[in-house]
Amino acid sequence: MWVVDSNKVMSELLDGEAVIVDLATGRYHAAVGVAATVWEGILCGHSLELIMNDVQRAHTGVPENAEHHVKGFIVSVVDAGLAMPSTEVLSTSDTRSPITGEPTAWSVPVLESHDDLADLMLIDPVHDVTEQGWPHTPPQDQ
Amino acid sequence: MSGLEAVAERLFERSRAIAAADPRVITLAVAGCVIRVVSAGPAMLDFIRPGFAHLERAPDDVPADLTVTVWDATSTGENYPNLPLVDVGPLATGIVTAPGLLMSYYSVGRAMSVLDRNEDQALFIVDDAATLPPWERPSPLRTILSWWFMDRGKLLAHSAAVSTDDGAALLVGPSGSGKSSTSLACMAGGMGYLGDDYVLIDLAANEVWSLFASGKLVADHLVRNPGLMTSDGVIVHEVKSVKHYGWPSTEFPDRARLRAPIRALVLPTVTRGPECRLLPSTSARALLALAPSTMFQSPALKERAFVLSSDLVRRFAPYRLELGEGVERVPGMLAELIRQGSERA
Repeated sequence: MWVVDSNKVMSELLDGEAVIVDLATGRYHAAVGVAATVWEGILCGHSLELIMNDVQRAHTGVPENAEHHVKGFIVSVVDAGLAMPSTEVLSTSDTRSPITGEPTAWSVPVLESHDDLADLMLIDPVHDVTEQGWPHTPPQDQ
Repeated sequence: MSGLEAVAERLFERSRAIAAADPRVITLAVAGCVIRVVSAGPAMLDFIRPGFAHLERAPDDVPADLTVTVWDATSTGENYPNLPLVDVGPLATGIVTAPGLLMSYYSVGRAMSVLDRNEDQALFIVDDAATLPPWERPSPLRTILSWWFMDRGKLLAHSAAVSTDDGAALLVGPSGSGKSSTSLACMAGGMGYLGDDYVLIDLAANEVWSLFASGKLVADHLVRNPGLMTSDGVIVHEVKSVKHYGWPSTEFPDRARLRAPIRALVLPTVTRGPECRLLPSTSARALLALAPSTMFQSPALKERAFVLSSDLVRRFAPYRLELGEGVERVPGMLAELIRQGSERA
């Protein structure tokens, strides 16, 4: 299983495509087709077995080596800092991912990543700091 | 009252006193709201005013929905607020929040934005109006306006907007995608102009409002098309290109539009292909084009900006606008798209 920090990562599923934004880094990502199915399975707390069930349910022409590709996609998601492996059971088979509609054709899942906001982040990086961090001047100095 | 709220309250009191010594006031009408900007002396007013010149439509004696007090330390001779900025390095923004209070500090220009969400009062304080970074001038008070309007369900979107009598098309995309070139070319082609970089989206009314009078064009484009606008300054970006900014909404008042119903969502992209084309796109692509850069205009409220962006893109079947040869055809293409509308059922 994997866990997504909802305080750091926001995502939206639109017509079978997932948009994922990392609030901490400014990087944003797209997951289309099988990749969106796997991402939604991760969000639902599914195990690899359940994610593969999601893939079989949502897509046609799923190849024998599909699990290899799905694992590779999940590694890229973890490497991007969007999810972390977890040993905690977060979901059972009763929890279905929100992938609906007619099955679509299999395609190798890919995490499409964008870091063009890195420029913006260089110019305008945002670091949330606590009340203790700033400002903390004694009242008489204001 | 928390320590932060007490700090803010004293800062508001001090700022009002500073402004009272030589108050310069403009009153703006935007999105059905009255916003009053009170400047301590002329320096900050001169910096801010051109960006809002097309919105100075409300009388100065009507009650304000939001009052923004602005001052700079240099021209007023006042000390910059002594708020040690730990955890905030060069080129950084610090964000602090308390219930009802948002504060941000931007190292470049030492620009401090404060919003009291309960009292609808805001502060914008800088070190020296004369040394503020040039990219602030075309879209001033952006953080404060983004915060305040977000509380009212309105999104300060990183988007351009052009219109006809039938409504408006939003042009969304990252910097360099062609938003400014397209929107200014559309204005030159006879369409209404609401903005080339930031506009205000009223999701409840499904309307777009103009917020800033500015336009920005890369230098080469302005040289080739000098009639698009008159340059009033230059923004030199270390990584990207040199851009000129001007004030098309005031330079071409007959083309300026303050408000329009949204009819279409367009994702421009420069292809340099043999022609300009409109092709169906997806809501996810529209969200990718709109949300990230919109979110980072709203520090501390990024999550809300993402939710509002998602709400917006779900409403339309978006189109990708490929910008190749024959850009002069684009106004007609967008006018027809607006006429047809691309709202989802």
